[in-house]
Formats: sequence, structure tokens, C-alpha cells
Amino acid sequence: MKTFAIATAVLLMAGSLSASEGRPDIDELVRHLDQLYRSEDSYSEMTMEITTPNWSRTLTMKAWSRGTENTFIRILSPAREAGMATLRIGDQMWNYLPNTSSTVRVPPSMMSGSWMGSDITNNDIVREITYEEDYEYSYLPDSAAPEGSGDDVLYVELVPKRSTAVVWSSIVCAVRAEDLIPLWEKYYDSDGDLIRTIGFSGVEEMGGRTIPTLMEVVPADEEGNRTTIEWTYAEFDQGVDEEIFTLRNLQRGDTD
Amino acid sequence: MLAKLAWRNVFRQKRRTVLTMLTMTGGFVLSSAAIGWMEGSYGSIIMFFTNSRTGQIQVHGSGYLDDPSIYNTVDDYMEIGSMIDSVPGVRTWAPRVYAGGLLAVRPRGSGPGGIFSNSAAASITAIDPFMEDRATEFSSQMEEGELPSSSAADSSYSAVGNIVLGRELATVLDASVGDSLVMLSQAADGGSADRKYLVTGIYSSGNPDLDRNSCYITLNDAQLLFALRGRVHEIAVMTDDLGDVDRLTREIAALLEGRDLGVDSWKTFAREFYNGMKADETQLKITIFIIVLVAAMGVLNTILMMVLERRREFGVMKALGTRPGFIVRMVVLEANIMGVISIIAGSVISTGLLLYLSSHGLVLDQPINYGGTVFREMVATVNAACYWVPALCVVLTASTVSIPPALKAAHTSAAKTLRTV
Repeated sequence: MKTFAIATAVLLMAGSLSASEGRPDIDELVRHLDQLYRSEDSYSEMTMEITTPNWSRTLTMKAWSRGTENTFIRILSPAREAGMATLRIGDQMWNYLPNTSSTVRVPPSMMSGSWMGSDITNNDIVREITYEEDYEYSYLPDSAAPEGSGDDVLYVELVPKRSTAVVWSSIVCAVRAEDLIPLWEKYYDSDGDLIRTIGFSGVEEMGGRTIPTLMEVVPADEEGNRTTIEWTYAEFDQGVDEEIFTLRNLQRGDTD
Repeated sequence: MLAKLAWRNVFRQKRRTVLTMLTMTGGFVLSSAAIGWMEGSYGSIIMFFTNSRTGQIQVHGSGYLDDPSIYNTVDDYMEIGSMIDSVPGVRTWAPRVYAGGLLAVRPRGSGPGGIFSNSAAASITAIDPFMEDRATEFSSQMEEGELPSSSAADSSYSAVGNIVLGRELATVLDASVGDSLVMLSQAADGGSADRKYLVTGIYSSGNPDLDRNSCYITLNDAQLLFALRGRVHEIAVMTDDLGDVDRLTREIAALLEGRDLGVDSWKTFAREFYNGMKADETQLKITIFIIVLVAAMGVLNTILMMVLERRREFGVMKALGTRPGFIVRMVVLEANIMGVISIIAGSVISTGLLLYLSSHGLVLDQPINYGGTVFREMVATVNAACYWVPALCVVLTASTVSIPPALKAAHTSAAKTLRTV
């Protein structure tokens, strides 16, 4: 899940790799980031706040993941969406709609559509990013570093390989040099225009790791839109029941 | 004396005069028929297109046409509709809500617990069935089943609603009348808008591209589902006469002044369709230009022949002291006399032809497609443009092409002509 690629990045980009004198080796750093994205399994509880110029709303949810293949998210509130759920197995995705007691397979044409009205797309949830395999990467030259930045921030530029089907042409990732906590990611299109910015904050101990517990997605082309995800609980590698990632579980529609 | 001379000259050589006037009359009739035919066809096509779908005038929230958004609505639409209804020349009006969503159907044979996996993105139009039918005769487009009718979904989130699908959309979804489908969308308050529907009908608007991704539900259902109580996105206004549309658009805009609304005619909101028409209009102008050019060549030829044949006459006139300017005016006037007679004759023939073509439309072997709507029959109309445009062309042509021969006649050398001719 890219959400959970993002989420896991947020959750796991903790500072287990200490910055040595100067910059860490880029291969090691990226491999480290990729490893940090992964966990055998995870369980988390979060609050998603969506703000647009026309409305704003808050959803609470639970999420389970296993490896890179399986993700399951259940909406707990508000009442209108309570019980709605999303299941991903590989590149397949289904939504359960308790209002109609029906399960809808999300077609490929809807993958770039919004997930739950947020600034996160279905693709973000389905696609699993591996920086080391799917991107060319390098440190951003000092001359290209954002103005006002100091030595305490590392800037990594990630350019998707030809075979990587994503809508952006590059990502610039800012990582705190001291403990490799991510600060933000900026996504750019082929013209070099900013598509969206993902900011990370609220670093605290959760699930045995020091992680940013707040992620804010701001699309560049939709003024006033913002989606903030706050992790309120997370645990990793504690074992997740395989039954969770089944259509039968999806269709239970409970909110426990 | 000039007019008398010119009039008599016209009838001196009857065969030549008849030949010239035949050319002029032919050009007039062809131009007139082309204009009447195209204008009539445009009129019927525009009325068909606008009456069956868009209306001739639409009212939206300001800026909606440039950036259609579920949030940009017309509030108090019933009050606004009543105001519009009171404008003389307005036949009726219909409110509409637009949204987008995913429609999904269970594959056949998958049973009641199956996954809704046959899906397609669709443009959802919500209508008041009675008002829409009165405005666009929507029921005449139904191929199977019935219009979407009121149901419990009009007042309950969890109730099953009624939906009608475009023929091609039904094919894509593999859905038939009586099938269930699920709609998944987002409401104007950001909440989820999902509902189960019963397919109550399948329609064909005559535009397969449009029918491939469009469906209709009831207005009350949509207003509840999409959190748009008391609001619509569009008021479609129907008029009886296409010629009134621009005036009515201005009147309705004046009536709604002060409200943050946009009032547009079909020329604006059906731009693609209108541009297709304009492109054809250009073709028509080129056609008329070619007809006029051919006729002008014929007229030029006959007048030039006439001048050459009358060289001796002009020589005598010059010898008697006639000024060159007099001869020029005389020849041009002769051409114009023939032109006026041709216009009168052409008008009679054109009127008969156009009246026939206006009452007996022609079925086209190759249907034409405007903005996706296919038209198979075309009819002519009789209007002022069918007369004044060709008449103007005849007069201008007669005046213009007669000048060079007239100048030639005026410059006839009296002594030389009298010696040699």
C-alpha cells in the first residue's frame, strides 16, 4: 500500500541507521529506507482528517498489513461510513459497502481516483514502492538543495525507472541527517511542476520505534485541499491472522 | 433616355438575353435552394438536438460551464423555475443534478452474495421524471422498461433506488431491466454516496458515445444521496422558436440579475455541436461562392459577346457624339435589368422548390453526425435569406462583370469600327 508505503515510511523511517560523519552511502541509505518500509506484518489505528474548500471531515480507522501483498482497512467512524472496508491482495482491490451490503471490485480505471474522498488515491494504496528496485536515486546536489537548508538535512532525489508506472517523474525526499527521520517528500511531474507534498511530523515512540506519527498530504493543484493522517496506535511484527485478508472478513462489515 | 435605351437593347437580341438570364436565374435558384436547404436542416437538427437533450437555454451557478463542480449549484430552483416559466416564449423547464460515480453489477450466475465486479464509470443525471418528460419527451427514448420513478430512495439512504441506463452502458455492464447494481460515489458534503439500484429501464438518446457512460436517477434520490437538498446543477429551458432563443436568453439573464447564476444559450453550452454547424456553414458559403462564380463567368461571357456583336452600334453612337460614360452606364444597366428579371423569375421557382423540400424531407443515404447525435433526414425552410442573399449576389455580379465589357464598348474607336465592321 502506498498509503502504507507512505504510512510505513512514516512508521518505520526511524533512526536505526545513525548518520555518520558526512553523508551515509546512498545505496545503503535507500536500501535502509526500503527495509524500513517493510515489516512482516503490522496493525495500526489512525485518524484521517480531510480538508477541502467545501467541507472537512474526520474518519477513524484500523489497518492491518502483511508483507507487501496484503492490506486491510476498516472505517470505524463517522456513522455513515462505519463498516466500510478496503481489502488489497496483490494488485487487486475491493471495497465493502455496508449500506448496500455489497462488495465492489475496484476496476483499474478507478485506481487513480480518490480513496474515501481524501488526497490519497487507490493507486497509493495498491502500489508497493521499492526505492532500490523501481527508482534511480542520488543525493540532490548542494546547489539544488532548497534555500535555507542546512547540513542537518539530507536530500535524496528518486527518479522512477522506465518500467515503474507512476504519474510523477521524480521525488525529492528530505531526511533529517541526525536520525534519518523523514521531513517531507515532494512529487514532481515531467515538467518539473510540483504535484504534491507529503510532510511528516509528530515524532514519538510507537510500536517500539521512534516514528513521525503525523503525515500531511497536500496536492499542489487543488488549493485548499489537505489530508492529514495521524497514527494513534501501531504495532509491528506481532503476528496478524491470515483470515483478515479475505473477502469473507471484508464482508463482515463490523466495526469492532 | 438611358433607361429607355437599355430596356430596348435588352430585348433586341432575345436569344442572347434569354441565355444570360437563364444563367442568372439558375445561379439564383441554386443559391437560394442551398441556403433554404441548409438553414432548414440546421433548424430541424438544432431543435431535435436541444429538445431531446439540452434545452435551448440553460441556467447554472456562475462559472459552472467552465468548471462543472458538484458544489456549484442553483439554490431555490423551484422559485427560479417559476420565474423563468412566466417569461413569454418559454415552453417549459426541467431541473437536473449531475454527478459522477462507479456503477457495478454482479456477473451473471454469481448469485446474490457475489461480488459486483462488472463495473464502469458513469455520468449520473438526476431528473424530475414528470418535468423532464414534459421538456424532452424522455419517455420516447426508452427502449425497454420505464422512466426512473419515485421510490423509497427519495427519502431513505438505505433504500433501493430506480435507475435507467444508456443502451451502451447497459451492454458494458452486461445489465438488463430488473437487475441490481451498486453505485459508488461521493456526496457534496464529502461523505460516501453509495446505493443499490434496480434497473427499471434502458434508453437510447441517438448518441451512442453519450449513452456509453450515462444513466438517470430521480432528482429526490440524488438530492438525498449527494447531500444537495433543495439544490440542482442545471435548469434546462425549452422554447418553441429557435429564433427567440437569443432574446429569451437576455430576458432570463435580466430576470435573474443579482443572483450568482449564468444563463447561456445552446450556442454556448453545446459548443461542439455549434462549432460543427458553423463548420458546415462555411462549406455552404464556399458552395454558394462557387455557384455565383460559375454564374458570373456565364454572364460575363454573354455580355462580352453582346458587346462584340454591337461594336458597330457603339461606333455609330461614338460617331454621333455619345460620351463613353453614357455607354458604360447603358451596358451596366442592361445587365442589371436582366438581373432584376432573373431575380423575379428565380424567386418564383425557388419558392416552389423550397416549399416542396420543406414539406418533403429527404432521407439521407449517409447519416450526418453532429456532436455525436446522428441525423437521418433533412428538410428545407423558406426565409428571407433565401431571397436577399442570392438577389444581392445577382445584382453585384451583374454590375461587376458588366463593367469590363462596358469599358471595352465605351472605348470603341468610331472611325476604325465604321471602316472595318
